[in-house]
Amino acid sequence: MKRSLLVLLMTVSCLAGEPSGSWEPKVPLSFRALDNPLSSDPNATRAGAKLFQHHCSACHGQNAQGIEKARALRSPVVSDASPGSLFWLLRNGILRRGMPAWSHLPAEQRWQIITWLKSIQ
Amino acid sequence: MEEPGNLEISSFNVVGRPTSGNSFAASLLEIEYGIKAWWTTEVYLAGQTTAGQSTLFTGWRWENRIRPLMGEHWINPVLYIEFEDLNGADKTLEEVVGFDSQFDQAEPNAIARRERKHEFETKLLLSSNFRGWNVSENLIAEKNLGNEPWEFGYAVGAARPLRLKASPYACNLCWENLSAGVEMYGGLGTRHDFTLAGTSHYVAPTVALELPSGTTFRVSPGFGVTGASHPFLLRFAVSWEAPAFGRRVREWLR
Repeated sequence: MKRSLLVLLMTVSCLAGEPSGSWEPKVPLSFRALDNPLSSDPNATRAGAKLFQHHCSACHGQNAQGIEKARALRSPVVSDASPGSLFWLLRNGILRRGMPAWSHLPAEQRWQIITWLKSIQ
Repeated sequence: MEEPGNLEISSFNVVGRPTSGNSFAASLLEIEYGIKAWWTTEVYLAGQTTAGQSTLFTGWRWENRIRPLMGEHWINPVLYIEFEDLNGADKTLEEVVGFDSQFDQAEPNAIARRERKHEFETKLLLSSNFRGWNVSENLIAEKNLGNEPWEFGYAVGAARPLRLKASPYACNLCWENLSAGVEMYGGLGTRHDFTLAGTSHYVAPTVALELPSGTTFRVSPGFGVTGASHPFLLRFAVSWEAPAFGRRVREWLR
């Protein structure tokens, strides 16, 4: 029993300690090439703003200005990233740096958030 | 998993009526905090009231959920480790394991409360997200720290928002805030007798309403499908989330 617990804790700590650098090089080509299917949807920006306030503003600030460790999102990190890369980031998060995965949000809502993020750059 | 720095306070409730016992209502008060994006910790306080008997505090649980893989996969595992200190009158039925049955809840509180249960519980929580559907498969292993064998159980479910795109307007009662699904849960016997025979199983539709204010309501009427099951269990929950709770406390303490 004690040995199993030790193995479990060691496995968890090794996996949790997985090194991570910048997120962009990790984005698979299949995601980078994705286009935002809602970029021409006139409602997507407003819906994205609403979703951002609900899910993201507690960490990134109401105007996406960034708070403490959470990045400012009005920045080249977002403006230079392809929509597909941002979609990958929302899906996977950067767990080791505190950014949760938002894969439980429907893909449509993640695209709406990205539409709004692109609109404020 | 709770987002890091967020605090969630929830009340999970269940109402049931064993065929050979009195109606009961049990409640779990949960305080959940996101420590890291991959680690959540929760404390539960449990109590119940049984018609014609008594109302009592039945114990507490402390659980931790750890997401071992840093990336998103088709199936995402979460390890769940819990210690619980409950008495035998606990009726919260948060999970069904081993040979748990409706007859356990028929025992009078005055007798059942004398039994102490110090249990260590692990779960492997597996979840997938596909086209708006959230599918979860949970395998449960529970060990009473007394001289009792491991008990096993499961819970599987699928749920989906009723609308995948968010509307551009602020709304409470709109389709995107409502989700519906179905779950099934039950016991799988013990290490010495891993079986479906004599175990209890439930099928339960689920409905949830998540309001933009951070309050979530969930209802799940469960129907027993074996003789050992309660014929009917009504589960309902209310959760309230305090975003950035950790940061606000740090600012307040400065």
